[in-house]
Amino acid sequence: MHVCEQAPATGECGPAPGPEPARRRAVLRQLLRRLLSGAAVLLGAVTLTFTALQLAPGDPVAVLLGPGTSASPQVRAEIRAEYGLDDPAPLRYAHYLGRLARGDLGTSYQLQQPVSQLIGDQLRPTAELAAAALALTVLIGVVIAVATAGRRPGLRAAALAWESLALSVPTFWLGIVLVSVFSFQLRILPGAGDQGAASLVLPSLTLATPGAGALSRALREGLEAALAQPFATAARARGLSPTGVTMRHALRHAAASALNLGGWLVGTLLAGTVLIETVFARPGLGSLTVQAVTDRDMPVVMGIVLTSALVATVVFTIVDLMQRVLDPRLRVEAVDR
Amino acid sequence: MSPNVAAAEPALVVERLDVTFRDGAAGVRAVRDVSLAVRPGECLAVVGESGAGKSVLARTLIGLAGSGATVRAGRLQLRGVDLAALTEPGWRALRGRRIGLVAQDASASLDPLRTVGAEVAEPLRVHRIVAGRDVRKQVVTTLGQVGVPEPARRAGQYPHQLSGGLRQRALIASTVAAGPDLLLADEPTTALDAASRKRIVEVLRGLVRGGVALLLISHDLTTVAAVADRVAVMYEGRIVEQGPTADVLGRPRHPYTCALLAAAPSRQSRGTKLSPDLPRRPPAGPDGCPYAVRCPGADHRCREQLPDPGHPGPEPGVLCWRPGTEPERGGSGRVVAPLRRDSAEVLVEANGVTRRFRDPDGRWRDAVRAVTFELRAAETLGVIGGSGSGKTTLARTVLGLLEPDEGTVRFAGAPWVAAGSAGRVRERDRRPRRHRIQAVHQDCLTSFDPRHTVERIVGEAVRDPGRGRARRDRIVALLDQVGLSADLLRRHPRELSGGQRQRLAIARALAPSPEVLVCDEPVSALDLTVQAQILDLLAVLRHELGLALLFISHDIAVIRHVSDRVLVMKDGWVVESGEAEQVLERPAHPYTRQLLAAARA
Repeated sequence: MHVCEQAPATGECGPAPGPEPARRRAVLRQLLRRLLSGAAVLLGAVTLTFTALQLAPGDPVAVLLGPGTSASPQVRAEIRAEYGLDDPAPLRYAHYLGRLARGDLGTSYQLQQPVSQLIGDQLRPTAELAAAALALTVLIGVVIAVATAGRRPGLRAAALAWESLALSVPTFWLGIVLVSVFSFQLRILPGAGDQGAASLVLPSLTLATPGAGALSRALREGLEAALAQPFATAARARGLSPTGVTMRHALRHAAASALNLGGWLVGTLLAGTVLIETVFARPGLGSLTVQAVTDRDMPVVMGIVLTSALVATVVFTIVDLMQRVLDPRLRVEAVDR
Repeated sequence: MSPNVAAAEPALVVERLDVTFRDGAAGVRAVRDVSLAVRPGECLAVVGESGAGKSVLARTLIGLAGSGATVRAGRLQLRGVDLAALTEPGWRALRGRRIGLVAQDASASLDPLRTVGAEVAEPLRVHRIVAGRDVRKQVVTTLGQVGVPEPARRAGQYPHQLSGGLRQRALIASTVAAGPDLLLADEPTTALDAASRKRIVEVLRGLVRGGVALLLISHDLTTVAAVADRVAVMYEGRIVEQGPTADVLGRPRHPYTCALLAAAPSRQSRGTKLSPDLPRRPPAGPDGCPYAVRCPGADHRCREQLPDPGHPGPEPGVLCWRPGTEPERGGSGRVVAPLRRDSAEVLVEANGVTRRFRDPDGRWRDAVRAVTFELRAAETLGVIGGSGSGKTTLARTVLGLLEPDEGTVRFAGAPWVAAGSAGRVRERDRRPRRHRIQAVHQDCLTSFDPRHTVERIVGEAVRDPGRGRARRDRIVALLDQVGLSADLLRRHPRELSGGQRQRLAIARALAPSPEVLVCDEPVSALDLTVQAQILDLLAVLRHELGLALLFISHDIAVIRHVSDRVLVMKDGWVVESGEAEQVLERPAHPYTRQLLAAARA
């Protein structure tokens, strides 16, 4: 028989949280790590676009000069020297990074304007469209999910049908249908252009539909999973109504899981603007992209790619931080138990 | 119960309550003909096995039996309010304010995304008990009342930051914040270690002293004995025996109560069977006694009709024609002879095992510190300690799932796991020997792939299973060994009862013919009756197969029942070890004495 003398004899032991400064340091460390990884993603995007540009077929000088123009070899050489096209690749990469750091995205081959200015001009209509579509997505998704979670089978089946339809319908087709109904026949909303809030309604609704379908499905699944948990019963036992339990408890759980859709959603919205701006004849980054790709205007294409990468990185970082705000269990570093 | 309590008007009166669930064409009668009353300042405990209808009864009394339930009652009254006539808004006004429900499983009954304080504040806000600016003060007061230390700081914490015992106290605080007349507590002490259980018992006693009428649902007889004034025994939806605690637990009259009490491991139960043998008896008719199939004293009359609970049979409060019938002890208490030999081969040899983890705040914590022990062939080594004492970390290290930071474990004479400094053993070298050491966990449901059938779960664990018929026969033989029928082959884990699942977990552990079984809290999630069956099964298997068991539990009665030798753990240390009898009867370390005292509380 053996009795240990070292061990404390009595006393209560519960996992006591650490002192506040240590906790704050851990949170800061986590935030810093998240920002660094975001920066790394951006650098990766920059490197990929640079490489893609190097590998792209065709002679930049020909693009610069425009189709059908002939120039003497001497003029061509001057142009090559001016744009630094003859420097070794690592040097050009370094120059490229240096210019990016100063916010210089280069000059459009076609329009002879700074790319940053081109993008800046087109950013507003696209940002408006994307923001309106995002707001509609969240609104429609939350309302349908809250209204149908845990309700009668008929209601749920109807919501499921709507979601399948919303997810699978091609957006350009939906846009055309909406335009022909609301602008051409009923004549209540403009079907093209960028004149004020009214002109935003149809394109943002079109753009929001697939995301709203995905979001309401994800939210409803999250709500129903949360409502089946013992804490939902405990909340009912404290006198909360079913709606009260949904709004006070379950919605936060559902949002925490649906937030994972956030990155995908914003990606879809950005990609969707290309189509929607074409269908609704709106100015914006989408139209600029189409034009730049058609013209092989590589600096503009790269500028747009980098802008999208920046937006995506920012969104993913925000989503990640939001997860921590919503779910306290993620706020501290995962522990190996 | 004090005399003035006996004189008081009951807070809750239930007469002839029936709760039926729609299930296809026929209904399932979960609660049948239940009559009871609880006075202010009194505790009535409802005991019985899982599925007896205890939880349905509690949920019915707070109006949350579910939309599929039909509730009928002769009388259902809370302090003059007719509960049977309440509509949903009427119930809502009572829930949390006049009636509180401490639901099962505190870890899941608190919203993990909200602070403990927000949960405790909820009934205050919903029912507008105190003004908005006073809510916080009231929350802190309530947390203090249920014995939460540093209530102001704890109120701002989240459930995952609290220990199991504190979480349970916080949950109780959230149900009593609004000062209800009636408190329904569903298994409030299950899955807590002895020390935490003792504190919850004190909290409940304090509430009852303060005038709350407490309906305590539990299969933990220690808690019931410590808190309840009266006990009602439920079996298949009926209350089969009801009376003062000392009478029901001390001189049980209904055969089912006798069997239930006999299933609890005790000082004397070591080496004996806990569960009665169940010979096939003719089933009872529709109006007969539901216990007749299991009752050794059942006769023709028992199978035909029940005594009327309004006009009880031969004894008041006992729903039985032949009260006092003793259960048949398996082969009249057949002793499972210990087969331990001191000369037996040492199978597991742990030497100075230490394992550290990083806490959320970045500090290192020793979960297991310098633990040394031996496990010999065919012996059972019990490991006891409170939650967080390092028992599970030790088990995972012995299983070769965690590498220690210091020390080594040898298995069957060869290195098994070792700290990096002591010559790390590669998993590749362990894998050929892995089948010789197997595990049974507490929560076996999550240890099964929910999409696999019973056949696949067991089949996967069999080494060299063969094909077709041979494979099937091997699986059926394994199921048979643990008392499961071959009819279950196509079932999924979710479709099994708790006891069947634990048997399946044992069958899977036995499939590769191991020599050592590591059992981590294998019976903690089970009710007494099923616990008795599983403990008996393990004893028989041990005897037949000569298995060595590393048996981890926080329940000292269970450890006493199964162990040859015992390790007592606290904060990662082994504070005492030795022969079970010596350690548990003549404890040398203060912590062991404290554990034993808490278990007797």
